[in-house]
Amino acid sequence: MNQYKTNRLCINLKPIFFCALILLIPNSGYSQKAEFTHETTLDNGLKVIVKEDHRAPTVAHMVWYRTGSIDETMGTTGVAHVLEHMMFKGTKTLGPGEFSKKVAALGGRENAFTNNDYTAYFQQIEKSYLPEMMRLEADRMHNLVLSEEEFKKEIKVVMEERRLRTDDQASGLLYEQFIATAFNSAPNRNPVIGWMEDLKNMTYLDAQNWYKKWYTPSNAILVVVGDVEPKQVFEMAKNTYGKVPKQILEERKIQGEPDQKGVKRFSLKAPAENIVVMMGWKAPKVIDANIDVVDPWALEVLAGVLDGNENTRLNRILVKEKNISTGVNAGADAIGRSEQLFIISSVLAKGKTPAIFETEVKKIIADIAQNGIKPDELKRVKIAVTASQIYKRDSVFGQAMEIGSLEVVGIPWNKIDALTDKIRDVTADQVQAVAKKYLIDDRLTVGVLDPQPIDPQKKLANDRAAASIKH
Amino acid sequence: MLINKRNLKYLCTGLVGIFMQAYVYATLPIQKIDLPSGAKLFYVEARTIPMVNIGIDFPGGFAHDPKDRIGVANFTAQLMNKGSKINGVEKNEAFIADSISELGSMVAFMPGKEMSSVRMKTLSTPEVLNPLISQASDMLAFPIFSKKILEREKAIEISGLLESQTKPEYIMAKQFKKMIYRDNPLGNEQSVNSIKAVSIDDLKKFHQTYYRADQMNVLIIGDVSREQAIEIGTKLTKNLPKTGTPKLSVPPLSPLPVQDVSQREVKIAHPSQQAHIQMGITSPQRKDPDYFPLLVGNYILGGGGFVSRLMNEIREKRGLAYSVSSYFYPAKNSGYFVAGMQTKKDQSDESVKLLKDTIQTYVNQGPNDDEVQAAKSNLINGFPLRIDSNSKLLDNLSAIAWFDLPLNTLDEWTNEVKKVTKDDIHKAFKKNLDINKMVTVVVGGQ
Repeated sequence: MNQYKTNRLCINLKPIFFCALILLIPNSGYSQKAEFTHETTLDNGLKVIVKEDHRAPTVAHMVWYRTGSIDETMGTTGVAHVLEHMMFKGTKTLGPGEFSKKVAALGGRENAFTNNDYTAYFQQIEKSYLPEMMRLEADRMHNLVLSEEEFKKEIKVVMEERRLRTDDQASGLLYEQFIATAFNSAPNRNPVIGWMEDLKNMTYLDAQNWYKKWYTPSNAILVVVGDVEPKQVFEMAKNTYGKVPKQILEERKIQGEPDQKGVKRFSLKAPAENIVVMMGWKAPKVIDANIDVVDPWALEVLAGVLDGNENTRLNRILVKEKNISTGVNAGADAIGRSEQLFIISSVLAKGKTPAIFETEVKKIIADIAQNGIKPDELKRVKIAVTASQIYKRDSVFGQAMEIGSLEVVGIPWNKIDALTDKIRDVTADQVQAVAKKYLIDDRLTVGVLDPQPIDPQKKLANDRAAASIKH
Repeated sequence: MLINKRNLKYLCTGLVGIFMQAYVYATLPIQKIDLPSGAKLFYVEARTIPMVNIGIDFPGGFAHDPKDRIGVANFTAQLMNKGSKINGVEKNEAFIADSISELGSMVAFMPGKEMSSVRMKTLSTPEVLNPLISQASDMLAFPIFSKKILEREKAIEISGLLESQTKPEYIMAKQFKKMIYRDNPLGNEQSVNSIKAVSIDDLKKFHQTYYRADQMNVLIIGDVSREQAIEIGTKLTKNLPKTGTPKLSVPPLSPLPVQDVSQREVKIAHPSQQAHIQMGITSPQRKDPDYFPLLVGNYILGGGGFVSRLMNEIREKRGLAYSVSSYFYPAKNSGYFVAGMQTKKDQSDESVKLLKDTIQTYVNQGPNDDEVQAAKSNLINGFPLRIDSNSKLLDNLSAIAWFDLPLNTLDEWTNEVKKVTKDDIHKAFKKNLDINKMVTVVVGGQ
């Protein structure tokens, strides 16, 4: 039961334990036609995208910065996310927390989130208050005031957040260790929330430098979706964001990952009940917005074939037939600035070992690599993709998320339909080929959660009790 | 005790006038129709997107389970899509999963405390909608409860339950509910033993008893006409038993008594880095006249995201927690209020005291004018965001039907908020939040 709303951020830890196919496939397609979506770029370099949706008198207003944890360097990991928190702490004309109070008074819902590739800020609000949202968001794009006093309080909040999401969560710790093991030098080996030691040593100056370096119109994208008139929004954008001075952006150094040369393995001890295993293979992604490739899309389809519904291969074989897992997930991400992994993760059933699980997973993959997939399996994945194009229109916010999350990694909104087509064009042979090519040991990392009792004394007592029953 | 004067000051500026702009937003009309099966249909026409959201709610949840076999409602729901007679032919779980996937639809069976629910999402094109409704209708009426599948699902459930029992948030929530619900069946919680005791016969009996048409609310919103909606509702419920005998209502929850601190504060040790803290009390049901004063009042106390008193005292001023909030959970015959947070172990005593003091000060003194205005302004101006999608409207339909609220509830919602005064809030909180009855649970604290 999740009774606490998470506020001011959801770090995307990748959908490790709760992912469904519909979420894994970029939710794309329907009416990205020019008649509904409009784009302009302001003189200072800010890209503005407006999509009309007149079903209800509401609007989603988002600003996406092409800056995330992968732009950080060792020693200051987590600073992108810390800055996100500090963005609510006042500007030259607003006191700390006043931003939120103004949005709340107008009935708005607001938050922000940081990921490997980006940082985004948003409000959902009744449409007549959009101009005020634009004024406020443009203000903190260049007038942020970072005080040491506010920083010292907020960094404590961030550390509490880290304890909540990672340090006290076996699955959070496992994922953190997993990416840190899979990648040697690619910067997404560091957790988005940052290592605790780096958070402890961070100062307000680190946040300030980050802000100065990255928060500038040419590094941002404004997305507005809802019951709006595009020309009016462009005009409002000019009058608000248009006043933010232009700034030359430093060139980014690309930080790559050397080829892997064999399986990597680790185990992690943490308080928990069940064994969890994660297997991840280095996977290709779309590079330079060139979506005319096959492999990344074929891997997304493969994820659907493995874990699309309750009867897809991993679920049927591992959960239902062999009772090796109590739950299993597969996922791949074709798009992003970060290096990507194709991940299969599972909570194991009592008495089952990681070795049994790994062997079975490899059998399932080998079957696809050797014999391919059935036409029906392919068809179901494509139907899910097609249907999701309709369902997504029920959410104004979801549509803004789709445009922003693609644009921020360089995929233009007008290619959204083409992305869906790319997935629909994938053939059974191509799915077989990527299983053979990428899901091999030389690309593999295996992480095992070795569960520890929360009370070591109790464990001893239980073991004795169990032993005495046996005899 | 600790009201931040500075923050309240800027609440005054900027807000004057905004509240006055509150507009009237016409919601889509809800139609209520009695179906031949005895079920009640709640329908909203929404034609812009070629899709339909469908829900079915009915009394029958954990609260209805036999004490020694808690889990029956849960496993009945879980097995509803794992085998049934469809068009007179027995079909297995693989067929059901794949056939729904092939329609691009979603069907979910969900157990709850007082009620169980079905939720479907589908395209409205007849080639998809018709076969889906036909299959769902058979799934609802003719499930096949397989022993082998039940045993498998029980093992999975137990594994998940044991995992939860290692987590401080679960240990806290379980203890909290125990203290709030006491022996009321609303507090029914699965245990390893109660799960193990659930049998196929239990599921069959539960299905017979509770999956019955005269108790069902069918909710439909989307791209279908009134006639189509009636047809869908009729088909979905036509093969179900029309009536039954058992008493379906859950006994009302008695209010918590005044107790000594030692009786109402529980600390449980845990090696986690953070202490998890919850405090709360029984509270009025949804139809109580205090509902709106408590709603507006709680926005000020702990419901209003970044601008609540709890957020200000605990996170903004002291950096003690990432998340702190409070809410009222109104149920059919009763409800509860809860406030909670997590904080580093060595800050737990300080945090519990702050939580208590902030709540007590608020209950004693009530809100001030600026806070009331800010809260009403937020709730009224933000109302359109509560109804701007079909899925959000379906949730609202579900609540209106379940709590038997007037069909114009959404149209009147902002007026009800407008009517709430500072005094109403103060009185409602004084009446309902007696700090001497409030229970507190800390897991993993000092």
